[in-house]
Formats: sequence, structure tokens, C-alpha cells
Amino acid sequence: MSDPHILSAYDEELKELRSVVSRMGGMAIDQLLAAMQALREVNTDEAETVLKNDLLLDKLELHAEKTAIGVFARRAPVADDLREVVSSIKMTTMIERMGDYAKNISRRTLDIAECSPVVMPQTLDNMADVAHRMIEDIMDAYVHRNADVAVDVWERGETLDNMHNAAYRQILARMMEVPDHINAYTHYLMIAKNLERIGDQATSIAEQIYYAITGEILEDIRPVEEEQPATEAGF
Amino acid sequence: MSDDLNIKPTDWQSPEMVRHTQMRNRREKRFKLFGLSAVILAASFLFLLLGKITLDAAPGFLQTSIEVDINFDKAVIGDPRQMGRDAFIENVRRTNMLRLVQASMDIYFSEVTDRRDRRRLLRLFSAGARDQLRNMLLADPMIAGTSKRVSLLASDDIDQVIKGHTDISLPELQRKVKNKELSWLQKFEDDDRVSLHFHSLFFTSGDSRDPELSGIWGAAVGSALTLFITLIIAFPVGVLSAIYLEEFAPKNRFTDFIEININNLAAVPSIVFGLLGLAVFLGTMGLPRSAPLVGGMTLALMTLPTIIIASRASIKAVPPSIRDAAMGLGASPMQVVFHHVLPLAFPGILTGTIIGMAQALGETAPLLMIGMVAFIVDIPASFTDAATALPVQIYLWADSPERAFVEKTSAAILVLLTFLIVMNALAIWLRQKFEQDW
Amino acid sequence: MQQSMTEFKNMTEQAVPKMSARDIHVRYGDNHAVKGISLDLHLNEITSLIGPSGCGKSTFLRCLNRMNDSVAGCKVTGQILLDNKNIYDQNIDVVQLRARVGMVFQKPNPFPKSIYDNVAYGPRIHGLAHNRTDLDEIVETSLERAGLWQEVKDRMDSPGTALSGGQQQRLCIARAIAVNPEVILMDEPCSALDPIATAKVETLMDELKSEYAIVIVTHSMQQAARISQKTAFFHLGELVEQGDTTQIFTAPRNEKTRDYITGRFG
Repeated sequence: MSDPHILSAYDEELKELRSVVSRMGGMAIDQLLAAMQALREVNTDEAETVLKNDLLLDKLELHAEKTAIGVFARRAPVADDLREVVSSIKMTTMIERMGDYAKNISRRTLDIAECSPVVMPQTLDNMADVAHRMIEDIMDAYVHRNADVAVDVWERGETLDNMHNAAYRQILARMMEVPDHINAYTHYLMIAKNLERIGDQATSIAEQIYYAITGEILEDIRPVEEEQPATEAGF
Repeated sequence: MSDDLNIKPTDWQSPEMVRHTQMRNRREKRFKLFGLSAVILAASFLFLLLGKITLDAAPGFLQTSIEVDINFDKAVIGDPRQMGRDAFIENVRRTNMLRLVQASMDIYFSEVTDRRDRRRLLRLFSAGARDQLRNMLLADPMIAGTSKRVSLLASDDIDQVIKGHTDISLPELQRKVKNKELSWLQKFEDDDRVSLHFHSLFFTSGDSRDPELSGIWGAAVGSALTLFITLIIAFPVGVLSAIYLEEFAPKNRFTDFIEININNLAAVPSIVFGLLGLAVFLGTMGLPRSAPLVGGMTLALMTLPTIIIASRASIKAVPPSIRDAAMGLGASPMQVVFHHVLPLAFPGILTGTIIGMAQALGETAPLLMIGMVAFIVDIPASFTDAATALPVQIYLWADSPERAFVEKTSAAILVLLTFLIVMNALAIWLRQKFEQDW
Repeated sequence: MQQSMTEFKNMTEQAVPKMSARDIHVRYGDNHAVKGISLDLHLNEITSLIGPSGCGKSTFLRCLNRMNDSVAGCKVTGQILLDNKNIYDQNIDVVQLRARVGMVFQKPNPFPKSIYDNVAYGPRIHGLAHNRTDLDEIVETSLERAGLWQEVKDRMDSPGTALSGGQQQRLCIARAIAVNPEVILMDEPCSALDPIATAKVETLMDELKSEYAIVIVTHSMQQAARISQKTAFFHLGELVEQGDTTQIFTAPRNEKTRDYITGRFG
């Protein structure tokens, strides 16, 4: 977003869209942190707050969608503007989904509060930490239009996958140790899954940001490289 | 929004605004008034001019005749039965027809016996009376030996008296028409023998020293012949030059130079063209003097710039989009010009040409230089015959001393104006016709 | 993936361009209006030339059928190949060239003649019809292809200038295709038309591309995006970027292209 548009109202609308998306990102981080906090402390009040706050995220998503549709209808965006608006719409959906996962964690927390207390697997905390940093970095990449950071986040998706596998094994082992706690651990299992999903969404967002900035699809980068010169000569 | 910028809605009712509006309206009204009065002034001058000429010219189309009893005495003119037709005609040609008039007068004014007075009696009639009687006899030899009442042309002085242009209250010495003649005229009038009627001779005869015998036909034919030459030279040359300069000529210093010169040529006084005609056509080329051929060539030179400028303007006015369209379809430059540009420019070219021709028709000065100012009685029959032209005829008549030529001059001006108006009307009509068809 | 597949197919089919400009320079006196442009034009494709005013796109377009020849002081260097023959060769007849490379202009400019004569003019001057029946047929098919036949068939003798703006422009297109060109150049053909008429002309262009190579200069980026397969962006007499229209309008490679199409110029 180097030069301003000749039409400043266009810039205003894009800026508005961008600010909504970053606000949503911030809110998703808050929700994740709050949900994890509630989970650690098995604090039902805080978990309820997370559930309630998810509505705000939904509202913001609706607002972003409206703004984007307005830009499509009135500005007919092309090139990077087009990519930005399209990926913004997709990103809001993904961020909202992340919020949903945070909400799910809190829901599980409420369930866990009713079970017999068990020790929370440490890996979950680590996963949440990684996911949190991924969201933070990806929002940073978004705000500063940094494709490299986006690629970095995208590659980190794998780390979270591995952590999820580890958590899965760990929880399964604990279940087998104390079958009485299966109920609570099932919830932890699901929470691990949710955290892994949040990471998935973050990598998807990374793809969107990378596309918005470069115009290329991240998945294609490596396999496409050999075909590149051929496309160049096409016209 | 607007509050930030501190813009207030305009108050139409404020005294300042009202005054401003009133002032503007007044100024507009005043301007319109000036324009209208300018138009009225111009129009009234035109009407004054035309009215004056028409009033002056009206009597010019009329002519006084006096009815006289003529005895076509065989003793004077010979007997066609005895002499044979050819000998009779020969005889009639040689005979002074005034003897017939004299004989008639001797009977009518039997009291006039003095030789000088009898001569003066004859001078009541035009010199054309002779030709009148002769033509009657030539047309019908059988009237020889009979008596007939013939309406003879009155002389120009008598004509003026009848038309009331001669002040008979002046002392006799200051008058051309003396008391005796007036009394004779009175007698004719008492007998109801004097009539004022439409003078067709004015439109059919050539120039003459006698106003009552002079006509404009010779000048009109001269003008027509001259203009014909002008047209067939100036139109093609002018239009071709215009097309070449506008469509084909490269834009360089040489063509710029030519363009400037053409524009300058249009501003050159017409007499200069006359001098040129005199030097080149008469001097170098040795063409006949006073001929419509030379007049036409001279006027063509004068008209060329007008036609070229008008044609170029109308060619230029053809929208370039039409040229592009034709060229884009693969029309060659010549096809572009002849299929598209010329048809569209033609009304303009035609108008320019006709206006140029009208200008040539009204031109006197160059014709004076090449000798078309001579006194020519005969109607010109070819391009090399000596001839005169309408405006030159007007100039000649205006210069003549006889009072009767004043009205002839005005009448000729009226005829010339009529021609000009007809030509301009033709230009308008042609333009509209072609514009409709485009 | 699918897109690159079709792209590849197109490439093999259109290995030989219909027209191709090689290092074209145009100078008006001291003004270097077009600077070394090389561009290929293919059959069955609409190529749009976009760029700010005075970028040389119209000048370049007019080079393609040598309309600049008649402009005083205009000098063109470089080669433009039409079926591998340089149209600026000495032995090329410009009249024949223009029959093969037709042109449609910004302002609808029908001749002030009847609708019939407008369409028949090209075939007449090129001697394409041997008799009146042939000519009638050419006129009818041309108007049919221009989608105008149904609207004007009952008034072939009324003046072409009496039609509406959009109809006039379609008449001009019919007139251009009546001489059987291979390439059609269009210089902002819709800039004087309302949206409905524009849509009609655009539909027509889309249909016509099955038979011709079409080049269009347009100021409307939306129009270029809507109708063309290839887009070339001109700036200050240079060809800044050329490529698939979709690529240009989603991910232009050049900063200037991006700034222009997104409305960031100046």
C-alpha cells in the first residue's frame, strides 16, 4: 500500500477494511489467551466471558464483509486491491473460525470443570503458545505487508502439527494410565485438536496474505518454478 | 460537512444580490438594444438606397410616344408592286423616312410654315422614328400608299417634359424645350395623342447616344459572355487549386508562401488586375481589345482567390472523421477526396463561386483598363466582339449629360441588382438543395 | 492448474502471430511518441492496449494499418509483420493493406450516405462484388454479423447518420468487416456510447473474435478486463507490460501497471 489512490475515498474504505481485519486478529488472540487462561485455572466465569465475546467477533466479521462488498460494487478493485479485498474477506472468515475454536476450548473448559480434576497436559500450553505467536506474526505480516513473515508462519504450521501428534500420544497414554479420567482427557484431546486447527487457519491466512502481497499462490511456489519461463514466453 | 468549510447558501434576497442581478439584466438589455439599433440603421440605409434607386429607375422603364398620321406616300418610298421587292427594300433603306413625318406634320400643324420651325417640329420625335417607320415598311411593304396612325417615339427632351422632369416654369432661355415646342406638345396632348407606355426597347437594344433608343441588352450579353469565360476559367482552376493545397500539397515553406500570396491576392485592388490584363492579355498576347474573352480572363484572375479561399474553407470544414473512415476502409487519397470530401464541401464551394461571380459581375475597374468601356451599339455575338458590361454601361450612362440618362442609369442599376440578387438566391438555393441530399 | 493447461493449448495453436510489431518507433518531429514497441497479435484474440492519455497507444494502433502515413512529420521505424510480410515495405500497397487491416474509430463516423451505401462503400472501391446481387449479399451478411440487420433491414435507404450512437458504431463495424479484413483495429470504440450500446458493441466484438484478430485501444480498464484476452500497458511511449488480461488485472508484474490499473497514478 505504497501510493495513495487518486480517489481518497477508495483508500478510506480499504483502510477501514484493513483495520477491521486487524481488530479481528487482535480479538482472536485475546480470545485464545483468555480461553487458555480459563482452561489452566478451570475458571468457569472466565470461560463464559470467552463464549460471550465470540459474538463481537461475529459482528466484526459481518461488518468486514459489508465493507468488502461495498468496495467490490463501487470501486471495482483490480490487481493488488482486488487480491487484498478478496483475501480480506477470506481472512475474516478464518479469523472468525479461530474465534470459534477458542470458544470451543472454553466450552470444553466448562465441561472439564464438572469432571474430576486432572492435571492439564503441558503440551497444550506450548501449543497455545505457538498458535498465539503464529496469529501474532501473521497479523504483523498483514499489517506490514511482509510476505517473508507470512512464509515463515506458513512453514511453522508443521511444528504445530507435530506438537499436536505429541499431545495426542501424551493424552492417550494418560487415559490408559487412569481410565477414570478418560472423560476429562477426551476434552483435552479435543482442545488439542482445536489448537491444531487454529494453527491450520493461521497457515491458511498466511497463504492469503502471501497471495495478496505477491499475487502468487504459496502452495504453487515450489512446483511451479520450472514452468515459470514457459509462462513468460506465452504472450 | 459544509459547516467546516464555512460556506453559506447564497441569499438571493439580499439587497446586494438583487442590485447585482438588476445591473446584469440592465446591461444585457442595453446590449441587445445596441445590436437592434445597429441592425435597424443598416437596414434603413439599405432600404433608402434601394428605394431611391427604384424610384429613380421607375420612369426609365417607360417611354413617351406620340401618335401621328403617316401617309406612306408611294412618291417618297416607291411602289413595291412596280419596283419589285428587292429594289423597294433598297429604296426604303436609302430614303429619309423623316420626309414622311415632315409631310404628316405639315398637315397636322398647317400653321407652321417657317423652315426652322418645321425642322424643330421634327425634333419632337426621336431619331429612332426613322427606324421605326423603315422597319414597318420592311415588315409589310403592302402598307405603301396607305395612311396609318403610327405611335412614334418622342425625343428624350419631350419625354422628360411628359414625365415632369423638366421645369417649364423656368424662363424660356434656360430651357432646352422652348415655348413653341410646348405649345405643339399641348396640341398633341389635347388630341390625346401622347401616351406613356412600357419601353421594351430598353431591354432589347444596345447602347445609343439617344437615351430613348439606348438599352441594356448589349451590356447584359457582354456581361454574360464575360462571366461565362470567368466561370470556365476560375471555377476549375480555383477548385483544383483548393483541393491540391488542402489535401495533397506537402506542408512546407513553398506552399506556405503560395497560401500567403493567395490571401494577399484576394486583397489586391481590382484595378491592378485590369492593369495586368492590359499588359499581359492585350500587350503581350495581343488579344482583341474590349472583348469579353479578355474581360473574362481578367475577372477570372480577380475571382480566383475568392474561389480558392472559399473552397479551401469548405474543404477544411469536412470533418476529419469522414476522411479517417474512408482511409481506414482503404480508399486512396483521390477516392477520399472525390467520394467524400468534395460532395460534402460542394455546397460551400458553390456558394463561394457564385459570390465570386457576383463580385465579378459588379466589377468595373478592371474592365475599364482593358477597353470594355467603349461606346458599343451592336449586341456582341462572340467572345471576341467588342462588348461592354452592365456596370460599365452604368458608368457610361452616369457620365452622359442628357437628363434622360439619369433614369436610364438607375434602371440599369436596378437590373444589375436584380441579377446579383438572383445569383445570390441561386447560391442559397443550391446550397440548401445539396445539403439536403448530402 | 486448469488455467495453465488452456494457456499451454493456446500457445501451441497460436504459435504464429497474425501480426507482430518489431521494435516500432514513431517520431513526430522531435516528439518521440512510441519507443521501441514489440507486440504480437493473434487471431481469435482481442488484445487491448491501455495506458494514460498520450502514452502512444493510439499512435501505435494507427501504425498497424499505416494510418499515420498521412500525418505530416510522422516517421515510423521498425517492422510490422502481417503474415510475415513487413507492411512498411516499399512494395506494399497501403490501400490493400487497409482492406486487410480494418479500423473502427472513437467517434461513430458513418458516411453521410444511406446505410446501404455505407456498408457497400468498401466492397465497391475494392471491387469485391461483381454485381448488385453480390453486393446486396455482402451488405446483408456484414450487417448481420454486426448484429444490426434486424434493426435496419427495412430502412436501408435512410441515412446512416440518422441512427443512434450505438447503431452508428455497429454500422461502422459492419462497414469495416464488409471488406473481409483479417485484423480489426478499434480506437476507443465505445467512449461515445451509453452502457447499453457499449454492451452491444462488446458482445459483437466477442463474437467477431472467432474470425479476426482484434486490437482495441480503451481508456476503460473495466472494458479491457471484460473483453480482451491479452492486455498491453503503455506508458510514455513504452510498452511497460503485456500479458494475459487475467494476469494483468489480478497480479500485474510491473509497479507502473499496478498503479495505473488500480487508480494510483499521479
